[in-house]
Amino acid sequence: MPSIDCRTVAYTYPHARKPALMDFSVSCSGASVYAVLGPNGGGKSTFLQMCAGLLKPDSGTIEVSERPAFLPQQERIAFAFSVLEYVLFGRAPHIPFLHVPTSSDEERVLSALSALGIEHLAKKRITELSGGELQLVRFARILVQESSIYLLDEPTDMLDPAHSVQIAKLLAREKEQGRLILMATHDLMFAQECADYIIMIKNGILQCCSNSGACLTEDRLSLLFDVPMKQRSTFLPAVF
Amino acid sequence: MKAGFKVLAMLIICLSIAVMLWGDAEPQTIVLGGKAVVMVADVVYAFPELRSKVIAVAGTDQGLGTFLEIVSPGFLSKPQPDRNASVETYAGYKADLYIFKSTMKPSLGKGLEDLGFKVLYMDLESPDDYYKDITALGRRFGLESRANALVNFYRTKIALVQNLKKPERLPKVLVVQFSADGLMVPPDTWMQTRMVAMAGGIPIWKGSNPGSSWAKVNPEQLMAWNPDVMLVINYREDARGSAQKILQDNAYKALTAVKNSKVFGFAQDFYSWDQPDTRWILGLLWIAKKINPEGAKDINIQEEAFAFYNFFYNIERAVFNEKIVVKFGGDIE
Amino acid sequence: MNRLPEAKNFVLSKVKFFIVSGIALAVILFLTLWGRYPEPGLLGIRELVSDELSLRIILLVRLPRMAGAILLGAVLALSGTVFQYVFANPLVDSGFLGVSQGAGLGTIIAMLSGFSFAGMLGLAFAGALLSLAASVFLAKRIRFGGLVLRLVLSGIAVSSVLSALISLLKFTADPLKELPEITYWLMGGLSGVRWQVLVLPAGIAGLCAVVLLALRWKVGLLAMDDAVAKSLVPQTDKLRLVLLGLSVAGTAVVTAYAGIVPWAGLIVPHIARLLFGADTRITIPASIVLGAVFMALCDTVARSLFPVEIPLGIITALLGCIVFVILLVTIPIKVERA
Repeated sequence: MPSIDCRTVAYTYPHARKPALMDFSVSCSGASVYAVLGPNGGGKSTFLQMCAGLLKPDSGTIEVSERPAFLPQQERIAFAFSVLEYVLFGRAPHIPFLHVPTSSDEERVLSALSALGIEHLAKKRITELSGGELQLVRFARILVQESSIYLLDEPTDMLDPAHSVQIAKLLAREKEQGRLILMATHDLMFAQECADYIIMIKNGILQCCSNSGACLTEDRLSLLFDVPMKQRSTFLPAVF
Repeated sequence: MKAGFKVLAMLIICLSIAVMLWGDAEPQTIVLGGKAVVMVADVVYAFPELRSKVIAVAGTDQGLGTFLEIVSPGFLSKPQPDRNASVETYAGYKADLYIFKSTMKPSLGKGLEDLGFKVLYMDLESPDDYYKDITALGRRFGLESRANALVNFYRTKIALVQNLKKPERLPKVLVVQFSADGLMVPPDTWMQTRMVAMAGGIPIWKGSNPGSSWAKVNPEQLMAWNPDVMLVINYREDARGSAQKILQDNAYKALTAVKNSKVFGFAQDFYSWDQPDTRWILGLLWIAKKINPEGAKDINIQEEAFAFYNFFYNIERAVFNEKIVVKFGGDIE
Repeated sequence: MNRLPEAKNFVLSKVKFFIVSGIALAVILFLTLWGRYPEPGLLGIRELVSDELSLRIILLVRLPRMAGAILLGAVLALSGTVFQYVFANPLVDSGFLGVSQGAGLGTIIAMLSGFSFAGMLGLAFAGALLSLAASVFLAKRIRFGGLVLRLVLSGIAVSSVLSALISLLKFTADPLKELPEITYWLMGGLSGVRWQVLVLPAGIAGLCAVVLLALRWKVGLLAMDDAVAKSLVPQTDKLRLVLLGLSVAGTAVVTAYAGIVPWAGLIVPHIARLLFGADTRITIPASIVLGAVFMALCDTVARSLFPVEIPLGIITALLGCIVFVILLVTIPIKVERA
């Protein structure tokens, strides 16, 4: 069973004045979706990067049951790889050091692309894609890593409603297949519809960690964002 | 006020006259320096009266000191500023006259002239330059007769070479400098190219080097030229060794010059005789001997060398044998 | 509007690669027959058979020189490609971290001290590796930015210091005896290349090339965003250093016999990417082939255009620059997303 266990983790970026995470303890396990909410600079990305192993805690421990698949918020692209080649890099953890990808790796890439409905983009250069298409491609790279833990930083950032729906469906399917998914997001609607649990982080401190029903209240959200929040009805894709 | 101005004007006029008169007086102290100081010093020291007037010479680190110490013992005890010393260092000597190669004019020369010092420049790139520069030096010090004698020495030897019986077909001559990764040819205007022509050879590389310094030629081009005689210069080691390396190199085996063993290390003693130093006349004689052995059979290189050193630098036979012959290098004989 | 050719299927790229390699080989053979003997131009088969000297020239003069050019071009292009992916920046080549200057400094010191060729090779190697070490050491101490940015900054500093040291050596060198040799060497040239000279560099560079070829797919991975690369392969920083070390070693040994030859390592990777796309599984072998033929072409021009040799570095800079400018102006390659 996939799990992430943080115990009293503290981290300060080098030469920063304030700690990014303080006395942070949280435990996630099982096949579920956690939404990580919080204001900008509050520690969401730091938390995800720690789980991904990119940052080492100054104190405390993080135990992750297996190597997670990590999707950063933004990516710098230096060369015009094709979509196929770009997603293929996601197979790196499964390819021995001095080897090159095999045709079975390429097949997995193609099936990940079709799971997202973008197999027609396989031969296009990533520099020619729209924001939404690129996001789906990056998602495909997550899928081919075949990890049980997904760490997604703002997955719906660039996506229009149709694509958001696609991702939501995909996350649901992945959860059913036993994955543990953590996603940092600003999209409250998305969080509300997809997440089983909410983790709230503000100023590096854990504010709430519980199921969505308990966390997603007007009071808690107003406190979190320092802005009065009110629940209203808004336009949503009919699927939700 | 007006009276004041008059006095000032008189003072200025007096000073100017004094300066002009002072300027025309014979210089009593000389400093030599800048790059290529070797050539300048060798010319100046050909005038015996000037030797004691030289109070400082730069750049003796190139081995310059060794030869001139023989010519004028005590030479090495003179102050020796660095070859790259600044204008201020030179100015510190307050010499009556500074003598440099003309390439120093824009930098060191101008700097000293701006400070009010007198500078004499020498070109020393060709025989005509030598005549001009030696004559100018003689005139400056009232040593015209010595200057004429030196110039005549050169002219006589050149006439000697040019009157030699030449073979029917003039030999194709190639002069190269040997370096670790290849052979280089000199530009057309340099002394080496002129000397080959004067000695009755055809400088086959003429027209191929558009630059102003040594240019590399590859073995292929050498073979396309296929010289009759090759003269190999090496400024760092004994040129005879370099000539041997070429004779043994597989790549050159089919060259006419190699087949006939006409590859010679350029004659050298303290300096290679190909340089535009006072010794260039020895280089000319040596080239004639190598490319035209029949016509030049009466030329004895060692004797010619002695004649030169004796006339230019008052070196006696004993000293010549002891100190100069031992320095002979290349295929001098 | 993007006029890049559509990204080809990987299999088709392989076919294209073999076609290009075949053309390259033919070009190299043609260039071997070109020279200045007996006259400027092409050496015919008839002459080869009849004139003993022609055969000697081909075997003892042109072939080793062509081999030297091929090795030089292949290694510089391969190293340039690796550097461009490791730094995720298409504007670098293997001289970037002061490596060329380091090799240059080592060789000049060897020249001034009268070392043999093996000594020159050793000092060039030492110089190049020391520059890499200095750049890495300095980079570790810079206090901001990712590894790549820090390496870029320290590379600039180390390059400048080494260039200044080289200028200092030129200044103090004897203008008659030592300076012309140093100046000529600094401009790059293959006129001194014989078979013996090539043995050690070929061995070392060959070894480095084999390892780099084995790692070619991972090289592409390093061009990804740093966070992504690290999440996929935890040892990316170590991997970057290993790849840089191998490229630098190869560059050092060829610089020892050929001098500093700029632009080849910068421009050939671009041409490879233009023909084959960005996938390193193809572009790394392709840059080896294209680099070899590029340098063979440049060297043929250097040794055949005039009776005297033109320094190789001048030809590669001119030819490389012209090609580079043409590429930049005609092909709008979108390198980064806004």
